[in-house]
Amino acid sequence: MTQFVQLLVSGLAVGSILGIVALGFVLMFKSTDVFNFAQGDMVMVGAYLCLGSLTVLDVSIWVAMPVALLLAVVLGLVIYRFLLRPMVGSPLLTMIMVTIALSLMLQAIVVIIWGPQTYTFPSTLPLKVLDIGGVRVSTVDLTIIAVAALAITAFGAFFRFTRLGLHMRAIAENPEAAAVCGINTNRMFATAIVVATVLATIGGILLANLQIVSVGLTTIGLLAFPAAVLGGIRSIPGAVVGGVLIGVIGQLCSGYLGRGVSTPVTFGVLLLVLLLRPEGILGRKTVARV
Amino acid sequence: MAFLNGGHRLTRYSQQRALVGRPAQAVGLLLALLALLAVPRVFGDRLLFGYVFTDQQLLGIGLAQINVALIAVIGAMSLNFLVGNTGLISTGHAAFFCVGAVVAGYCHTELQLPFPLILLTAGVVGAIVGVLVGLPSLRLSGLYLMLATLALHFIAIYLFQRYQLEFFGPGGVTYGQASIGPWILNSDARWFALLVTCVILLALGIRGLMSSRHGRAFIAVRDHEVAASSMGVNVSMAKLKAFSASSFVVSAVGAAFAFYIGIITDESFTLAFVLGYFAMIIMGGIGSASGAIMGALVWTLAPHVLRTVSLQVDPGTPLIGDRLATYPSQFASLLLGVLIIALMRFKPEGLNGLLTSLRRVVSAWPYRD
Repeated sequence: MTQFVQLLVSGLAVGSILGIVALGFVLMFKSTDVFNFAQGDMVMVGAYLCLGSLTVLDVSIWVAMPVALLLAVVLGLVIYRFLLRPMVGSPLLTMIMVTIALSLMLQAIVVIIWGPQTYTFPSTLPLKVLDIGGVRVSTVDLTIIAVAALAITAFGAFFRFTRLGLHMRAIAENPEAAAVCGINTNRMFATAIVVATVLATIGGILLANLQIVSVGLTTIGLLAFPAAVLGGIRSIPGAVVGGVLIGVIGQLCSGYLGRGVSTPVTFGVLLLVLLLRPEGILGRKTVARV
Repeated sequence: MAFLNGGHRLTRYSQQRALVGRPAQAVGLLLALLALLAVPRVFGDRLLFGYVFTDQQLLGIGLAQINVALIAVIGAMSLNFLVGNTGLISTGHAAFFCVGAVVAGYCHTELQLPFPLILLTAGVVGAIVGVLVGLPSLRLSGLYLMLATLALHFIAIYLFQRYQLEFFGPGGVTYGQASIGPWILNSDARWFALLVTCVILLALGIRGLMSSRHGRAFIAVRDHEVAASSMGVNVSMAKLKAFSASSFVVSAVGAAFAFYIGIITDESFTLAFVLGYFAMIIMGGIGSASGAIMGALVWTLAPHVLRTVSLQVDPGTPLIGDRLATYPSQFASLLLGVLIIALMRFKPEGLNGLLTSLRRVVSAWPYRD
């Protein structure tokens, strides 16, 4: 029982990070119809941006993190302007290829600048192991859950209560109708991509605190795809739910079935969802014209 | 050039279907054949009619790299057949390489079958697995099929890991020597001969299949499933046939790849491997077999070329000099990524599209097309 609760807590930690990344991914997919294959690489780049600001600017990590977020905004704008805006209206495979190329380039740039070795952040989060009623829980996990919940709530409030958030939701629902209502679609596309990059960066920084800064962060970011599909690839709250579920499932698998099983099982869940309920948990069935 | 090609319109269907429609094409084919015969001499022995080639002149490409490139060509042509001609976006490519490697390992160590029979068995098993992998495609399409096959990719890699640890150990699955009857494949030149024959046979096979009614059925399924089924095409059977045909070839080439490399681990078939094949076919031009060949050659040989070029760069050049020397393959990936994006932006039809436009411009010159 205690092992179950421990795995649950660590699963919630990874899951909430995946929820953030999947949230950005789903938002971008809903607004721009671009399946961002490079989402995992953006997570990795986010962690490295934080590392870079730490080492280059030689400041404390609490200053490096906002700097990394600012750099993520710039990166998102660059991706929008030079990669995705020229490709608007292209068929599915072309868009996928562009994001695959982006993923390739991001991985190459990271290794060229920082090398293939792994790095660790200076310990910022208090690392203690609490004993709550016989269950050993790490404070790092709890802090990450708290920070992730805060980030998700903040973005939720942004979407619900601000004007920009309302415009973004309009674009995500129906870009043509939003354009007719006078919303600047180009600016909203750019905002969606920037939000996706920033969320991926937040996820990357949290993940790097949980583990290490390495090129392997890409594969963890890859789990955002099953998370998004599980929750409903066109549902924004679904992304968070899906992320948490995938994180928990992954950790439970690692704990009970051994390492290395979690990836195939997680993707097996993805396969089942696609075959039985492709719209996901919180998604709605779509009707397509033939 | 316009005056040369002005009167060559095809008048009979047999002319279009023929391999050599015009005398000029026969000359071209003959030259290509002679060039292929010269490749092992030029790239392997670095010697042709007494002239010695330097490493630089050949851009650092050796016969081993060409053999790996040819294996990629075969894989790319079958993936192009699946994705470009039938419209089934499948990321299960690495899974079929795995199937081929596993069957080859089992047949080689447990059953001691001869090499040609191993290839055939790998192909047949791959075709059966291909039908299984193709079953989701009956319900899913486009993006969702890609995600479903991605899931199958990870599951297959895991099963390969289990097989490797079960029968071989963490070092990887090992293979012995391959031989076709008494002819032992113990040199790069012999592998080259085998692989080039396979490429030519596959190209002819795809050409024949696509101009038959099965090929037209595949194209119809790609373009509009509902219209195809209302014209009498059995869409489900067409999809499963496409999957099984493509996976037959990929598994067979996976077995050959296993024997050529000699040792296969679970690290050999990563997601980057699969995405690389996608890059090959999209870079070459979706739906075109010659595009797949060009894309595969560019994708697999570019890193070697770039490594050779980077050796010419003085490590003292500021900012990129020493980085280029330490990470040449990353620079190759970067350049290939930029090339892909440029192609997608300006010529989505890929390298084959470039070639076609070039052909049109040249044949219409001095007029505009």
